[in-house]
Formats: sequence, C-alpha cells, structure tokens
Amino acid sequence: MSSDVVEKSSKSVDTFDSAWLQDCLPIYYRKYFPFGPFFRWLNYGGIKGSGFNKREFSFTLIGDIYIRFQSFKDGPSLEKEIIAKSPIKIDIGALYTHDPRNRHTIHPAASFRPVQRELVFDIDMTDYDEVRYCCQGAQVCENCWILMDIAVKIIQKALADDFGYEHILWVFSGRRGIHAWVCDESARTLTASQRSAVAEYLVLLKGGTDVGRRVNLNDNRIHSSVRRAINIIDEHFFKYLSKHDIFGNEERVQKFLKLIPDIIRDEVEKSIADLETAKDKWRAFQATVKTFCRKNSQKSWQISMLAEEIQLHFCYPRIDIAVSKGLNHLLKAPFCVHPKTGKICVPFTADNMIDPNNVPTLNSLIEELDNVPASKKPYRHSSMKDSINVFDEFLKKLERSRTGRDMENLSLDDW
Amino acid sequence: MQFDSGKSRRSKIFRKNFRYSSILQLYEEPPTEKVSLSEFEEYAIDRIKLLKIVENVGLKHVKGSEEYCMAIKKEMANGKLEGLPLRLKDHSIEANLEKVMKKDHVSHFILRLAFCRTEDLRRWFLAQELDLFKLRWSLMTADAQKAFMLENRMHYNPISDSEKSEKLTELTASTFRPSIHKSNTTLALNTDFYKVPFTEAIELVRTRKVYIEKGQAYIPSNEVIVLIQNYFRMKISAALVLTTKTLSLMEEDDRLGPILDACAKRHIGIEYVTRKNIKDGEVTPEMLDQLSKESFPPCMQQLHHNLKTNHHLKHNGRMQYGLFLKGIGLSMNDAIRFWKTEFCKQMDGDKWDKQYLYNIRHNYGHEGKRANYTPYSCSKICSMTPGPGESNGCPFRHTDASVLRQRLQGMSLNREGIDTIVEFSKKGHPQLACGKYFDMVHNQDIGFTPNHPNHYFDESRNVLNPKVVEGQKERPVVKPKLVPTTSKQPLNVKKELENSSFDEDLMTMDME
Ligand code: SF4
Ligand SMILES: [Zn+2]
Repeated sequence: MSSDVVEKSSKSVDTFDSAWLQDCLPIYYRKYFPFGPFFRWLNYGGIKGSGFNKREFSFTLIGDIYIRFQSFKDGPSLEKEIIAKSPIKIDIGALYTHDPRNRHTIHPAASFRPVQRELVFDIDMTDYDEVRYCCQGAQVCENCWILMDIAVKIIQKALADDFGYEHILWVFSGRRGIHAWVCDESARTLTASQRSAVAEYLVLLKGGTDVGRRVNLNDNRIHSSVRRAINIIDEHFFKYLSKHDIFGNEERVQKFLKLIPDIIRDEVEKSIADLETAKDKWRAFQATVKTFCRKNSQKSWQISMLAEEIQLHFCYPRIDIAVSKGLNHLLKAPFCVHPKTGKICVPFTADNMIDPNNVPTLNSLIEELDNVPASKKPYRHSSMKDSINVFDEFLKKLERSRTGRDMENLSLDDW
Repeated sequence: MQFDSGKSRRSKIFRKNFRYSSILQLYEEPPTEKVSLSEFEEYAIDRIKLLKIVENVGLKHVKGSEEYCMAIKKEMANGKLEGLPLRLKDHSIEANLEKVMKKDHVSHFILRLAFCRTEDLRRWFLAQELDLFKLRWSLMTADAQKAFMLENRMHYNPISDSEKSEKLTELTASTFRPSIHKSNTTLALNTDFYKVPFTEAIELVRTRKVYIEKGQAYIPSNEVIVLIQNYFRMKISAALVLTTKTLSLMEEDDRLGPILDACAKRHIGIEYVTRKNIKDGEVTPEMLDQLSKESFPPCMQQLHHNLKTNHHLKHNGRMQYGLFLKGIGLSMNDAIRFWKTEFCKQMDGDKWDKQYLYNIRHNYGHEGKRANYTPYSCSKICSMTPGPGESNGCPFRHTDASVLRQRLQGMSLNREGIDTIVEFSKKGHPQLACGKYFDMVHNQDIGFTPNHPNHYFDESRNVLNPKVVEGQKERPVVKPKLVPTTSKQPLNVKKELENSSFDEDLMTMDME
C-alpha cells in the first residue's frame, strides 16, 4: 500500500503518462482483454447461486476516480462497460446477497452483505525489504524474485495438500507482487473466520520489521506443513544466499547476529569470522548450533531449531493477510494493465514462475498488433499467448470439475 | 415476548440434564414459558453479573486453572448467584432443578436480545458465554460429557488403525510437543484421532495444532472439546445475527426496550464511552509526542513511533490509532492536519487527499454512513492478526517474548517487573501484562488492568495530573442503573444495524 510513496523511478517505467494510457487502454480492452474466458471464469457455469449479476466490480478511472459497487447482468454488458470506461484498474469484489447496484434500495440495509468470494492471497515484494539486498520498495529483480518463487511454491503446496484445493489461479500483480485466487466452490463459500484461520495457518512470521527473528518454533513441534516449507526452502536456500549475501559486510553480520539468542551468539560470531563465502559461513553456523546442542543437552531446547527458524525468517512467505481474511476485500482482476509499469497482470502456474521483467506490456502489445492476422484473436496470437493458455487450462479444469464434461473441444473465446 | 405451551418437551430436556447433573445446554430452542416483567429483569441482571465475573476472573487467572475456577465460585457466592449455578449437583430436587434450568435458559436468551446490537457487544457476549460453557464443561465427569455429546448427536468416529499407521509420522509431528521423557509415536498410537472437515476445527487449524490433509483435520481425543465449543460458538453467533433482525419488533415494546437498552449499557468497559467532559480539541497534534511518552499504552506508542519514523501506517494501524486519537480528544481538523503532515513527508498532498482524507472524515462520522465509530477495545485489538509490515495489534499479544523483553529492557524497567510482564504475555494475558507495565511506568501499585487503550490513557492522565479531572472522582465510565426509566429511550436499532454491518469496507483494496 505504501508503495507509491517509496517508489523510485526505474528504467522506462515512468514514461507512462495518463495521456498515453488514455490512448492505449481502449485499444487494449478492445483487442486484447480476454472477455470471453474472463466471463466464463466468474460465471462459474451459470449454475444457480453463482449469480454473476450479484458480483461487485469496481473501476478506477484516469484521474483517480474510483467507482465501487458496479455489477453486470452478463459478459457482454461487462465488456461494453469496460470498453466504454477504459478503467486503469478493475477490481473484483464479492458476490452479494443482492445486485450491488441496487444496494440502496434494500431494506433493511444490513441484509445487503457479501456471501461468496474466492479465497485470495496477496504477496508483495515490499514486505521482503528486510531480507533482500538488491532492491527496495517497489523495485524487483530476478534476485529478490527468488523469494517470491519460494513463497508461491510453499503456498501452492499447502493449499493443495493440506486444504485439498484444486483450482488455484496465480496472477502477477503488475509490478512487485503476486495474487492467488482459490476458486474451488468450498473455498468460495468459506466464512470470514474460516478464511482468517486458513490465512493464519499460513502465517509463521510474527511481529513487524526490525524486531529481530520473526520465527520462533516455541515448543519445537514442527508441524508437517512447516516441515514441508523448510524442505522447499532448503532446495532454494543456497541460491538465495548466493544472491543475497547475508554476511556481506559488518552491518549485515550484525543484523544476522541479532537473530541469534544470547547463549550462543559469541560462538556463532567466532565461527563465521574467518570464512569466505556465505555458504561456508552458513554451514559453520549450522555446525556450531549442532555442537552446542550436543554439549549442552539441558539448554539445547532453546536453540535446537535455530537454523530452521532463521531459514524461515528469511524465506517463508510474507502474506498480507488482511486481504485474505475478509469476504468484501477487493482485489485487482487478472489481465489488468498496471498503470505505473504498463505490465499486464498475467496468470502463471506455481511450477513455472513468472519472470516479472519479461511479461507483455501495453507498449509491446500495441506494437505487436500489426502482426496479428485480422481474423484472429490478438490475445492468442501475441506474447499474451502463454498466459492465456494457463488461464484456459485453469478454466478447463474448473469446468470439468463442475460438469464432468470434457470441454476440450468447445471454443473458449465465445460467450 | 409470548411464552406458552411446549412445557412437556422442555421437561424432557430437563430430565435428561438431570440424569447427568449438568446444566450445560446449547440453547437451540428459544424459551416458550411465560416470564413476568420482574423475573425478566432479575434474570437479565443476574446473568450479566455472572458474565462479568467470568470476564474479570479470566483477566486475572489462567483460564481453566484451579485458581480460576475457585475464584469464579467465590465471586459467585459473593454476588449471590446461586440461581445460575455452574453445575446441578446442589439442586437435586427436581422442582428446583426445573427452575434453575429455566433461569439459565431464559436469561441467556434475554441477553441475546440485549447484546446482539453491535459488533462489539456481540463479541463480548459470545466470548463470555463461551468461557462459561467451557467452565461448565470442565466440571462435568467424562461420562457426563459423553452423555452430553450423545444426547446432542455429536458423534465422532475415530480413524482406523491402518489409516493411523499410514499417517503416523505426520500425526505425531503435527499434534504433540516433543518431549525427552516420552515417545510421541507411542502417544499417537494410544490416542484416538477424529477426522473432521477443517472448517469445524478452525481454532486448531489457525494455530497449527493438528494435522490436516486434503481439507480434513485430524483431532486427537483430548481436543474434542474444541469441536463442541466451535459448534456452540457457531450456533450462538449465527443466532445473534438472526436476533438482530427480529429486534425491531422488541423495540416497539415499551416495557422491554428500556430494560434491554440498560442491559447493554450496564455492561461497561467494552465500548469506550467518551468522557462527558471531553472537549473536542483538548488534545492537539503538537502534544502527541509528549503524551505518547507519558500516557499512551504500548500498542499506541508503537503506532505513533512507526508513523513518525516511516511516515506511513497501513490500514489497520490507521484505524486503531486514528480512533484512539479521536477518543482522547483530537478534533477532526487536527487529525487531518496531523496525518497529512506525517504522510506528506513522503508523498504529495493531492495524492494524500485522494487516498486518505475520506477515511479520516469517515472515522469521525462525516462521510459514508455517518456512523460514530468508537475506538477499539483491548479485546478487539488483541483479536487482530497484524500482517507483515503492520504495527497494529497489542505488543503483549503479538510481539515475540524475546523481542518484548528487549524492548522493555530498553526502557530500563527493573528486571523483576520485566519478568512478570513477559510471563503474563507468554501465558496469554496481554491485559494483565499491560496493567503491570502501567504500574511500573507510573511508579505505583494499584493493580490496574486496562480493558481499553483509552481507559489506559485516562487512568494515566488521572495519575499524572489529577487536576484535569477535578470534580470527577470516579473513573470516567458511564454506569447506568438497570432500571426501566419512565422516559422512554427507544433503541435506535436501525442506526445500530448500519454501524454493525461491514464498517470497514473502505480502503479494503489492494492499493498497488
Ligand atoms: S492491553 Fe490493551 S491497552 Fe495495553 S497494549 Fe494491549 S491493547 Fe493496548
Ligand atoms: Zn531485487
């Protein structure tokens, strides 16, 4: 949220001005925005209770004009409105008890409330500032994106294995974060307190920044989901270390030592002092902890999990859980254009992580337009193609689960 | 309220309860008996007294402990609350039993009416009823507990041995604390596990206390009470919301309206009632640095500090701190000036106006539903879960013990006091920790326990600067008497309803 404040200009990004957006957005919406699949998704098969017309959309228009509680009877009317308004941002809200446009006419007013909504997650790179040494604030690069990759893998696994969810849509948020939309029916109908339980289950880090170590496996019980997260982190940890030298200079070493409890801090400091690489230092640290535990079995409970705790402190997902908890929280729709970067908020899959610096942009798409045959859907014949395929696969699976019918041969682009 | 017939059905339930001598019930059926106006009032007062005892004792003792139970019993004896016992043992005469059950049953429903009206009231009522339920449950024998579950068709089947051995590693690791003295694998083998949809055991899921796989939670037999509580909580909280809807009918009743109204008001503390003598603008932005050092509770110090260093606070932090400031007398215009000055050290004014101005005006009831939002209570603050980069919440609840200790040491408090505070905080008593902290920084020992950050603030001003509240000896909290007044004070149900729906639907969007 604070992003815009701390944003530093990076590369060509700031060349986006509103006049330009005003020119190009209508083209993007007309040519590229995949309205067909998009409606197919949110219509959930049109079965009773899916109630597309009760879904809240909100639009941000150029000039920061913000309109909430829009709703549409079907796909074509949504398309018409989006093309007419060309919003710089589209947010998707909840399904309400009533058509949100008529909310003022409802009595008593309190009976108008959100009833369904995808379970959503939001992870933002700015929340990793304390553990990345390449960029800060709104900037991202491939080095810090390693952390996002780890986060996606851990959450995907937990949602699928622990909670049994199958329909998870991952979407790049256009600049420095990612969103997840869990669309299983059982997820869409969770209550607010159930949502917060799922979200908190996935939160391990405590406290704000600059409070020292944020993971404390207090009773040394390692829940199977935490164990699995540690295993995932293990696979990527040296890669992380090689890009973020947490022992790189005196200041960083001091910061690291702050994470270590008093009883072993001096020993750790000594053990890493003369070593060269981050990898060696990390290994030395692990060994020091082990030796200490062996020699002092009385005190070992205090630190036996220290290395794991620190790995989790650096690499465990930092979810903005306020977004997940409420039913009525708005979240930016997939396929929006990020107004600051021009990047398209494209879907991707957890095992094929998106590269934030290599996604289609409004610019590139407008240029590509010349090469698209007139008879074809531009979004299938441009650099958007791959992410549309991801979205198709997601939809097919969703539809199969609903009807048992194989939708393979149906055109996915029509209403 | 029309109560009639249905007597025979009720008696049956009473007899069942009598059999296992427990007063525990799930309050699924509304009362159908006739109740006189004086009974109505007596029932209401007694149950509030009981719930207040449950709340107060719960603040001082570890819930579920021996002392906790003793203290509640003692307080109940002092308050002459034999009419609402914790168990039925002492009421072996059936006629008496019926009376006791009726009082418990009806009084619960009266308070539902009185406490369904705002989110804060509902939260308080539910929390105390739940604690009362747990307490009563814990006083039952294992047989009685089983009978109760059977009676209410709560039947859980343990998983098979083969399923258990297949998942033994996960079950062991996720369920039990490691111990050097005993083998957890053996423990797991000797424990029954019940498989339920995770949504039925969210408290255990939230805290990662049980193993879950494909949406099913594996509950060890010693945690089954959590399922029952959860069932109870769900029922009551759904019922409370429903009750809200029927309340407008009650509103029209001249006799009951005022009683219900007074009931909720009598329950002091959860909803901070702005001091009568507070002058809007009593506090100005320039005073905040000083005041935060002297009189802010740690939760607010933390927010103030973070705002001053980062020139930003996330939504929940702005709500928690903004409403607190409103509560201590910062006027709306000053609030706008204060927030804007801070934020605009890092952003430009126009942008600020667009993004945040509305929100502040909204908090002061000048926008949107024009509701008069009240500052957050300790229980609300403690029930939040601050996410990464957020500094809202209660330091005694949400800050890791070692970090908390460090901070307290940084304030050069004495060792022994720090130990006490950290101990309270670890055991899950944030307010007791905060009370001890208060005593220490104010150099006194009055055994003060805050239930509201604004209460903390007032108390602190009181201690540091008694002149400010001259002529006002008592704590500045309104304590209305529970007597139906002749002048009718209609409940403004409609307004309350509006307040209690989703009051934070502003700014709940991703601002990237
Ligand atoms: S106990 Fe209450 S007043 Fe004290 S820090 Fe926590 S929330 Fe604030
Ligand atoms: Zn980077």
